[in-house]
Amino acid sequence: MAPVTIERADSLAGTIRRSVLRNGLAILGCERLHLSTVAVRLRAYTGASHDTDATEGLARLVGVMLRHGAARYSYEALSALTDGLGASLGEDVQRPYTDLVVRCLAEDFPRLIGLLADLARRPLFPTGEFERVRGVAQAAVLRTAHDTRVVAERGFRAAAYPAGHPYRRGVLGRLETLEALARDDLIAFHAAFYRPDAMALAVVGGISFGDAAAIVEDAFGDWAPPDASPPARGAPGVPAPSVGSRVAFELPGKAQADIVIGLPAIGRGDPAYYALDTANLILGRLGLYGRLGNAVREERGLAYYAYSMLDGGSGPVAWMARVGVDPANVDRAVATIVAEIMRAGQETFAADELADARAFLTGSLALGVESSSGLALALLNIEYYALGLDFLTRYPEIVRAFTREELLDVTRRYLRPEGLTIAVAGPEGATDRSSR
Amino acid sequence: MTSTPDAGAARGATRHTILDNGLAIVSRELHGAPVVSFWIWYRVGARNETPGLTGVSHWVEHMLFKGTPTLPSGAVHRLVSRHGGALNGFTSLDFTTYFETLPSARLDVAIGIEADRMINARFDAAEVESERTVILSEKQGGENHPATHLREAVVAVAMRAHPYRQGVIGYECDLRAIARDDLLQHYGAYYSPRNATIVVAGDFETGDLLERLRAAFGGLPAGPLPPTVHAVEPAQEGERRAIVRRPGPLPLLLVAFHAPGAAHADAAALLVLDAVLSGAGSMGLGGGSGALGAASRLHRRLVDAALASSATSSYSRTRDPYLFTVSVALRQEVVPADVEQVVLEELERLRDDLVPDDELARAKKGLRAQLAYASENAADVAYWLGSLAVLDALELDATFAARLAAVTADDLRRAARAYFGERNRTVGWFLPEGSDGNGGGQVAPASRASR
Repeated sequence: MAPVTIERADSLAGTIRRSVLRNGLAILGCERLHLSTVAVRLRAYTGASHDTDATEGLARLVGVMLRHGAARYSYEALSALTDGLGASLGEDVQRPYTDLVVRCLAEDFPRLIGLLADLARRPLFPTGEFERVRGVAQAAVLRTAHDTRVVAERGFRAAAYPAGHPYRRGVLGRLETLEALARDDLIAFHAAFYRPDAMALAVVGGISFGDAAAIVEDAFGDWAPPDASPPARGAPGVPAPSVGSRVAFELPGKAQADIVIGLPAIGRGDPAYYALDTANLILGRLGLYGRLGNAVREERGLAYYAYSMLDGGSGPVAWMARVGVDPANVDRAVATIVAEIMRAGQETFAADELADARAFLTGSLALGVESSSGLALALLNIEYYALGLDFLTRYPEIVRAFTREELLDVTRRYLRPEGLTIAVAGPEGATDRSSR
Repeated sequence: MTSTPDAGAARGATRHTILDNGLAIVSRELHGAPVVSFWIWYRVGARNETPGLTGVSHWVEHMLFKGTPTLPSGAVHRLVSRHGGALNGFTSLDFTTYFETLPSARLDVAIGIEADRMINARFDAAEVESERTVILSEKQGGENHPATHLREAVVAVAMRAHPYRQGVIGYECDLRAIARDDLLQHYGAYYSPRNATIVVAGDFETGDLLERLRAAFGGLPAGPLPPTVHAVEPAQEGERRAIVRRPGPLPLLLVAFHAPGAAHADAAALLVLDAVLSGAGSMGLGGGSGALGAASRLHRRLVDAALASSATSSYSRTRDPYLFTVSVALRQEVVPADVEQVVLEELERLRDDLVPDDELARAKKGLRAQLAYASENAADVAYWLGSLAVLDALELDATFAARLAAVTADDLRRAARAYFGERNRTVGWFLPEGSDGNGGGQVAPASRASR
């Protein structure tokens, strides 16, 4: 049975090819026949966004447990296989999606695809393995409860998003939710969200696309999707934040305070996304952390790191400025960052800032897709967000089209200083102020 | 200028060139993507630091981003970003390195930056003071993690004479006292063509590259001979222990053994031992991805047995003898002494028994795969070549795979017996303050399995 569609597009990364199996599984690839290795990434269109408050951590546990035993490969057998082939196998569970990530020698590609198909299609979630993996996750929860960066972000999310919102929750879960999960919950989650018509697989490296697609079809082609429509993706909207808040968490014995300042913004799929992404680049990424890095680190010497980021995913994803400072400098750092956010909403970025941002976004494309694993990730994002196979070619045009006024407008609309949530986690003394 | 293809040329043309001023150049063409990665390595790091000036190499690294007369502070980042590139610098025990990875048409940007700041860094007094707090903040960030405290304690206990014991970031008292003149003196002593190696990998033509490099760097004075490091770590004569008690979530174990440097004949066997214990380690820049090592001995005995969240070993490729380590993050409600017992048993087993053929083959295949993964990208290739060159072990590039393939089970047992003994061991524990290690009992040395 041949794949039902075959498309191709030339790009700076080489020729990108795409096929879709009759069951809906999309295959994307780029040949790099000079390499002896292959990067493979299998994406299920489900992640922590499909958790609930009561099952926080479930999507991640399912993702991890995929590697812990399936119908044809027990945990011991798959560990021996991957280690024996020098192949790496890991999972990357995010809010929008779950990826199984494989790196292997090209000669071993067929065996790894057979393994991936078994794990994705027929996981067994063995009870003993489940208990062990749950214990490791609980240990991770305990460890991150002492990590100032993690605690600050959790505090930010809890304050910035309404109860029940998927972006309010963490991916890892909480001790009590992990404890309450049962093996049947994992089985039900897998049955509901893992299906070939809500998955895509990317292959980049030393194998021809035709050979790769045939091997993938052999392993996945007879997996029939359920009759019901695939579950919805994305996340519900939230009201534009108009009142900010400040929360603080004291962690004894820490040397540094970590701060998150941010608010719910917009994600992929929103027409203004690329403009906001460009504004974010100028504000907190370009060069050594953009304007924030310049103000906090270069001009004031307050911190080793100070940057901003826009979460992946669709809907009201988090925009966050993050900084780690000496506890005595928390208020100075907060004031400096808030002032920079306000400035970005009051006056247009300078012409040379926008020119630098455009040049960076265009030029860095080559670097981002140079590695096989980087390109595999890019291909899955192209598929998941329906960006079009020519996206890598169109992208420079997209970022060249923005004017400074458009960036000012998007900054005003989405980075409102009055709606900022500030979360501080650090030692005694770093967290004295509890409101502003 | 002398220029010779090395023994690896037949499989990918690594070229080693030395300019008349002593500047070494290592280059490898890769035409898979229109990208070039340019690195410059200086033979200076914690190894070259003296008490009172710990952390000075790392501070100098920071100052090389703070401007020259022609490229003011911040300009290097802007310049590279403007062309869509990535850049960074980092300092290690043995070296300080800077890189720019750029679209290949922009190679001259990297050459210009590095030729300029090799000799023209300004060390502006106000910038020096501003960077002092930045570095203290970087140090504080590390100290937020229990593993940092444990590692510093174990290394300082295991090593008594060699500057490696001081670590890279430096002691806080030194970071508060180091003056601009100290930085300038360090810069003048170590930043020169004679003490540097340029590594370039990516989409370029070698003849053209060498011409550009000769034009940019060939006229620079060779510079002084860097001071020789005489320190030799004396043999350890019995187990040492370090315990760190601080607020924290769960116990951590770090066991360290003195191990030889990267150019030593036993280095290959130690890498294979590392792979047997916890999976083949990454040879590339960014570390591996995924769970290589799930079938390894430590993973099976500790993670699969629900005693630990993670269990890894590591052999550091350094110029002088340093440490082979085993690190374990304990699960909740696990008795620390039980975990230590398992670790020592596994190390003892390597001293007693030959590693079975299938397990040896698995470890070697993992290392072969890691070598292949580290050959995919320009930056990884440049990092690999540079990390060998700066240790004066570039010839390993051509022979590394063969050396790994030639390791036998007898080699592993001999190396384990040479290095994994009780006399050569330091055991360190991080114990959450206010607890006895979450297991209910005092942490006592595990019953000794080792001789």
